[in-house]
Amino acid sequence: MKSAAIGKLSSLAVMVISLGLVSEVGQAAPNVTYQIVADGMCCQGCAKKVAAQLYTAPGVTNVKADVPNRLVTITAKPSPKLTLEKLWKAVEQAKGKPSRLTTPHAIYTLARLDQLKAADQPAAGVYTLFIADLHDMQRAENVAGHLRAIRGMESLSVDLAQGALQVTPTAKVELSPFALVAAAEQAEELAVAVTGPFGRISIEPVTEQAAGAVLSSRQPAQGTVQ
Amino acid sequence: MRLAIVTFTLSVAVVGFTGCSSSSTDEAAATAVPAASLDGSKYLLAEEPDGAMGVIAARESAKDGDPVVIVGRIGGSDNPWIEGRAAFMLLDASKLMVAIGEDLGEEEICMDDCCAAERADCTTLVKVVDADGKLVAADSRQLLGLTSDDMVVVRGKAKKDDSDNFTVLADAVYIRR
Repeated sequence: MKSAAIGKLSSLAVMVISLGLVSEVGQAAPNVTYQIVADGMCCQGCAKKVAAQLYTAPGVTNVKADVPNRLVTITAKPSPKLTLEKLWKAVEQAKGKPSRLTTPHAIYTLARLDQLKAADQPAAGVYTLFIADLHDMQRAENVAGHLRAIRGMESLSVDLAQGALQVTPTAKVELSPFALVAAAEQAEELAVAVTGPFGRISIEPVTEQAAGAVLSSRQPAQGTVQ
Repeated sequence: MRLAIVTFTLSVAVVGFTGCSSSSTDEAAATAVPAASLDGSKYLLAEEPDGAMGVIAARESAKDGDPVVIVGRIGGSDNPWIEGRAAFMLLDASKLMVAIGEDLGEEEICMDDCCAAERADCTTLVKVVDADGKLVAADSRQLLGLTSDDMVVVRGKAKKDDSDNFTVLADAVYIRR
């Protein structure tokens, strides 16, 4: 368990280093690296299924699998068509059970419903988007405007006490948590978590300090820098 | 005996020349045109088409005549090119997944005869066709600027014959570079 966690941190460090190298070289539109922890990827056969799905996402040029650590590293051309939702869904469709997605900017960690305490269980059919330091209605309305543009929305309410917006989709519509996060980004707000029928996705920004802490804790693995 | 050997040698040479394409007689009769005299840009997409699926998934699900968008890497054969024609072999991208720790130079797909059936399941022949549905008579390397191992997304129609041979008749190609 500990070695798996160390392995994941090591891989994150590698990703941060590789991004750093790219920026030092100063190439235009460098490839972007993502990492997904796929809990269901238990063998090379599963890894191939996960890779097959990921390659169907726009711009994906390389997929590497680290089966012992259940970690998939994806390299892609920057493209507005390549959304986090597509990467996440690709792993889901391959029954890879994604639980964490790391981008150059943030780490998205999923706690499934059965991992949440009873008090943290979301209300049935309701999605809640938590925004950092959301205290005024004007900012909330700005986010709400972008949320209303999502297909399948039925009702929306603001809960300033929790710093959150609650969304109810029309019957049988399943919303993507990443679409809700994207709505917050469009409103130039920082989403910190989303809850819904899937569980809870916590969002942790990747800062230079955090990356530095990861780097100082581990030596980079050899031969895996892309 | 000598006649038999000569006949066999000629047969092998013909098969080797035509590759594994199921080229029809009109295609075989087509004359290769210098790629420089053709406008290859009309077969190249500037933007990646949506809804791509892998080669294996397309072989399993697409029916004859279905519109398809397929992603894969040029390869899956010692020589993935059909000389002088806008046609090439496409390999399912999952076959190129590289496990961390593996040697990058390792063969990603078995090229021996023993794995021919498995190889066939994960590869397809892509023929770039013109507005009349005819195979473009120019080498895809020159016409489209393709190179081995390029990751491409092809848009076109599935073609399945009575023997379930699967081919893609592509009207456009997007190169992921």
